[in-house]
Amino acid sequence: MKFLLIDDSEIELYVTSRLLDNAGLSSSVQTFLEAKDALSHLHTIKMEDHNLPDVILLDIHMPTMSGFDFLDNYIQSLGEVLSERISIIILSSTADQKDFEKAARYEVVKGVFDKPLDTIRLKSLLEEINS
Amino acid sequence: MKPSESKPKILYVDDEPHNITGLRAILRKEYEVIGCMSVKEAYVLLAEQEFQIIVADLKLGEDDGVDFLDDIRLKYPRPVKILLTAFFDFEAAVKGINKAKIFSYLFKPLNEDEVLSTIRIAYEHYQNNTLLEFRKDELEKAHEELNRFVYSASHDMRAPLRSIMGIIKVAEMEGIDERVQHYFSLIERSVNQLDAFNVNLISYFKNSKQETVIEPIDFKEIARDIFEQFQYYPGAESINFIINTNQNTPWMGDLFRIKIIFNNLITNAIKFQRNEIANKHIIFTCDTKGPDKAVLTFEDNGIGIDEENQKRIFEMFYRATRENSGSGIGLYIVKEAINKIGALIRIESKPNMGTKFILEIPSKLNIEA
Repeated sequence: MKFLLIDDSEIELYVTSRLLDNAGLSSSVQTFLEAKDALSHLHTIKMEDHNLPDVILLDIHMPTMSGFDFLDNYIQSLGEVLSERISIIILSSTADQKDFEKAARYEVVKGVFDKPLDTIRLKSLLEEINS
Repeated sequence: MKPSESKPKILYVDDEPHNITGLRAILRKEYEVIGCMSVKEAYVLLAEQEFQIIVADLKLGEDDGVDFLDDIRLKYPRPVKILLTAFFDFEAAVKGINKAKIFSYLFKPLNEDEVLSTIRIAYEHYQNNTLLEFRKDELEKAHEELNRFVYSASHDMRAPLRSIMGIIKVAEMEGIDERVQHYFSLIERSVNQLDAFNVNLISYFKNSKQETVIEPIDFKEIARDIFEQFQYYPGAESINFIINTNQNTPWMGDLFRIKIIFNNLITNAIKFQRNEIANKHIIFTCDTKGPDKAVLTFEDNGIGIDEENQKRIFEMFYRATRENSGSGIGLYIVKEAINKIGALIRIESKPNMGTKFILEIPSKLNIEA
């Protein structure tokens, strides 16, 4: 499965990549430190199905473009093309339960996870989504 | 408000113009005296400018000085009030002190030294009060800032803590030698402890800040959600969670605080199990006694709490056992939340038998949020 990770912390990107890799969940992992770069990348490849990620793991609290900003932009500009194709999953260490509740209200968001990523839970969630 | 630096202003109400001239002459060096001859004019002046001292004659034509001072007391609480009188009127004195909250008396004919010292003391009194108010505001602000600081610091600490957890997880997955593995598991335990403390701090400050929002409550659902949330908690996999409720009436309450209470009581029940026994369980029951009261119980067959410790478990930072990670803030937060929603809690427990918390929560069905 192809993953795209968006997080403003390099450590987090590394850790999550390793966790996915070790759990045997990912065939490829692409990482972005800025949500807006991820967004423009998705714009570029939106018509190339073989290049599209299957799952986006998205952090919430990031400078300039937050996870929520990303979601709003994504839904507006790419939602029609990609919302069925890509599962977005929130991965955040927020201490505010309200952030998770807010994120879960987005239809494109298929799950919310506290850090560090629980790969066993993620695996069963992805199986559920793809069945 | 900051104590004023300019010349203090005195409002002087007297129906004899020469008295006004006289008082102004005595006080002109240090004070600005604004005179008027009727209560009606005085109201207009009070609405226009701020006075530090108000001096009123007892006899004001048809009006009464005490009644006037009493009348303006609530609207203008800060100026210090002085009553001026030609002779000692016992009744007026009693009424003046008890009702109009007069600070001092002045007698006619005006004696310069007496006037100066009375006004000076009155102004000092005004300044002290103002300063006190000012300091109180400052203190409240500092307290608020401190709260916010602790709150945001705990928030910011969480991300790096979770990051450490992630790195440990990766290291454990990728295989390290046994001794290092052991060190990592120790680090993990400490980080978890710090993280739990942090989360507790956050909920403590939220509890003290958050306004009460009354929402429909489904106790069974709350308990189920929290059980689910903690099923991956270390040690939780061997615990049998049992929910036994008969909530059949709609029920309203402060969902936020009820969740805080559930969360802490349930995590404690998970944490303080006896590792050696096989049939570990946590039983949650809920009985809504009519529409206005719910009785909830959280029961485990864990390590229990002896009688001596039962009295102290709700104290801040009190820990009844060394055996588990914890900072002793969880039940303190429970107690705070319980106080806020007007609930009652009691405990039944025996060491090595288990613990049962019994909670009575009043419904907020008829109370406007």
